[in-house]
Amino acid sequence: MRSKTLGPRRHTARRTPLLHAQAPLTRAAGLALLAAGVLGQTAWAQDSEAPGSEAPAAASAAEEPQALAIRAARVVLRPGQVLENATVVVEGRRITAIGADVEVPEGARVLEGDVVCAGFIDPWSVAGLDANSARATSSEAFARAADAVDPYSQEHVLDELVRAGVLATRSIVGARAPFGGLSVFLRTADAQPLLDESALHTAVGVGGGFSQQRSFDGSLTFGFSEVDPLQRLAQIDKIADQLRAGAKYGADRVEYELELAEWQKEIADKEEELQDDFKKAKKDRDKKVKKAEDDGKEFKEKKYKEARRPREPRFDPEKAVFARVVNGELPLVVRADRALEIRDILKQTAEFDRLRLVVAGGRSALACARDLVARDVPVIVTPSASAKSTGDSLNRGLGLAGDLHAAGIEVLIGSGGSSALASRDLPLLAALAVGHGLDADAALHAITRGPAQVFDLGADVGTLRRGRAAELIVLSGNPLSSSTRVLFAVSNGEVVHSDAD
Amino acid sequence: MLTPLLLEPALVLAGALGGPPPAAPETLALRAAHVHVGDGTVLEDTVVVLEGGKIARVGGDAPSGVRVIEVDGHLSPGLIALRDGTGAGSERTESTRKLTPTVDLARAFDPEHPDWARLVREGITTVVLTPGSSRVAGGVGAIVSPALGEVVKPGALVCLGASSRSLSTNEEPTSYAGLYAHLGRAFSEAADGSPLARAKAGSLPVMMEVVERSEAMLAVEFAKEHGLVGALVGLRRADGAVEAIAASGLGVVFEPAGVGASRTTLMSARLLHEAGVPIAFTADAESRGAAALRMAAAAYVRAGLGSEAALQAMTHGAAEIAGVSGSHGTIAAGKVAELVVWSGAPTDLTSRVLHVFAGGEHVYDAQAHGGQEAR
Repeated sequence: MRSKTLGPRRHTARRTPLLHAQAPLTRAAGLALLAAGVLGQTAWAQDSEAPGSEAPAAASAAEEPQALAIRAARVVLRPGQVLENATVVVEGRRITAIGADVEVPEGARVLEGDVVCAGFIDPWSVAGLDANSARATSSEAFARAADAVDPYSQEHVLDELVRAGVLATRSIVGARAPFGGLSVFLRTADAQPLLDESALHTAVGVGGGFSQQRSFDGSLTFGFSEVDPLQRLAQIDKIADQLRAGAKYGADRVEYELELAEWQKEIADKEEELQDDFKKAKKDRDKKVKKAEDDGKEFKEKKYKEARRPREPRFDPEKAVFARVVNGELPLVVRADRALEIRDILKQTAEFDRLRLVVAGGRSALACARDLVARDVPVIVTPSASAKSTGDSLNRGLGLAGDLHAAGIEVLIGSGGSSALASRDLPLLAALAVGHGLDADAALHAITRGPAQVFDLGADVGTLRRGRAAELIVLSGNPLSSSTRVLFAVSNGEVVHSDAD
Repeated sequence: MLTPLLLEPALVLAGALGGPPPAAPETLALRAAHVHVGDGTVLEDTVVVLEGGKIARVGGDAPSGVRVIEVDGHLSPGLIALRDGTGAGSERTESTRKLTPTVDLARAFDPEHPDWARLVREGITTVVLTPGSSRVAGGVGAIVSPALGEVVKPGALVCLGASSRSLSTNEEPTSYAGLYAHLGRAFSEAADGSPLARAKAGSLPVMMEVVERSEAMLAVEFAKEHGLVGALVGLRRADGAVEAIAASGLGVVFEPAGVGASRTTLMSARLLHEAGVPIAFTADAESRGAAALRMAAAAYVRAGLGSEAALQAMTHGAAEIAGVSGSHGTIAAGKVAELVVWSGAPTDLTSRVLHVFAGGEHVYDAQAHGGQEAR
């Protein structure tokens, strides 16, 4: 049983104008917006919504679904925090109560299972997107994955994700491009964005051409050719350059806003002054007109000279994105595997103290553990059976997730966008990491609370708490056990999958 | 006959590993909370006695005077990897010829290859080394023990390729019709005692590589015509073909369903198992990694195949297909002492391999490895 709303996507969620992120300047921004009304022209017209548009996208549906009461032997509020024999109540698309003795609302549908926990979240996915956009080898930093969402052709894929308990993905376009663009945080059950622009996705070491190679047994294999080391360093330089350009662009923009506000204030002050002294001014003018008439001269109106309007910096969509990244408004995800490159990225971006860096891949990230911990950089790991711990001690193979976690690094687990269906196997990937050394709670964190927090949805999804969005799964056993079945999936307050169906 | 000739180098190599012929391993007993026999049954709180490299007894009390290892977890037979090329590299493929049915992969076994340790760490104690996928009759697979560095059984099963992987545009055969023409002739011309002749007599099992259902149907027909026993390998989906496959008596060996495998593939294992068809998985650790076997099993379990059925596919089912179920694949008296101690259920990916026994010896201890994958 799955209800689906495939209406036009809402592009509202949380697009905060740049200035809102800069606390000391919000007043200036407010002034600017005020002035915009007066002048009929605004600097941020292309980007600003009414500041009150923070309501979750969920509210779009017209009628409220049936209330739910979910009983389970264990309710995982968050990894490591478990309530025994408790009930989760969902009303009006939100969790309204959790506890052992909660009142079950009248008419509520009762669901039962062994374990209830937050729906799984894949922080590195291509699910729900048009396949060609997802695979693109070139893209722009300002390309929006939200514009590539394809609920129709991807319906069967998303359906499998929901059945596996993967209720949200951070999906990216241009998985093979150095600048992949702005990823979308997607709710898989109805292909609606939870967050339109969740991070800027970039990559080092990809973007090479398509190549075909003949393997030893004579068969042809197709793949992407490797990017050579110098090119990889150039890619890192490009990211750093763009961040610098973005910082300057942002600063120019802010300066312009301030100047504009000042200019507008000057005009307003003058107007006020004229208003206040209107009678006297009129009298004076009348006098002067009369005098001129008396003298037989022509009356010359005293001209008011207005200060020149400050010039608006040219809009640049790419720099605008990097300005938001530098500000820390959007996290910057850099896909990088080699230790040298990860270290270089850390070094090159050290000057941006508000930057929220996330490393994806990170096969040799353990060698940079100290720096990653110091800079508070999470790493998205894709456990893979074919990951070999080579003789190279930097490459930890399947032990990577466990080793990074033990070193104090926040580990997220993602499917890596190898295919849209790969996200379905996210719980298997997490289990694989557990089987090779990662703590079980850390693994659950890596696919629930962790991605939600790192990508700005921590207050809404990823944990079970009163007031949070009802994005949860009811399981027959431990969340990561291979034999566990997803009995029910609840998304946006509705039962979107039932194992009995 | 090939057998005695080929055994020799293997023994020499094994000798090189362990020095002069080792003394018989000590007799010891394992007492485990859960013993997964491998044939679908699970015994609770059971003692398994190992003696002289074999399982001497399952159940009863531990004999007095024997070291007893308490296993706080699950015990299973060592896993069997049905198709693998670890360490063999280009030795798996005679690239100028599509039909080399007498080549024995035992010659391609390199017991010193460092990658074998990875397989052992994932609980794999028996491997069927096979020719590369792109041949029509690439040779005979050899059963080897990666932990002991020994060839267990050379010339163990005939490997045939009947999928589009064995067709080329510039080399015969270029069509299925051509492929079966070549294969038919090779079988009819096979000398007495040669692998193909023994396969025809039903004394040597075959593994026929097929990917599509149409290829499976052709292979089933061919097997029937030549009286072949064994299994289809690599089939992507079986829906609609289950009855025909079940009637043929052949098993089906699935390639490791990697991340993002299609639902029809994942469901096929369950359909076949329910129809009584023996199923197993290939390992292909040389390209997919040593963990791919269990990853595949877990993916099938998540798609509805029972946990014990999945374990059976990696143990007893695989042994049956490889023709070594008399000695391998279950925890039963008389079988080789190849055992794995897991921290949880063997088919659960969250479980860790704690100990591996092979030839009655303790060949891997996770604690000694610091619980890490480093080598």
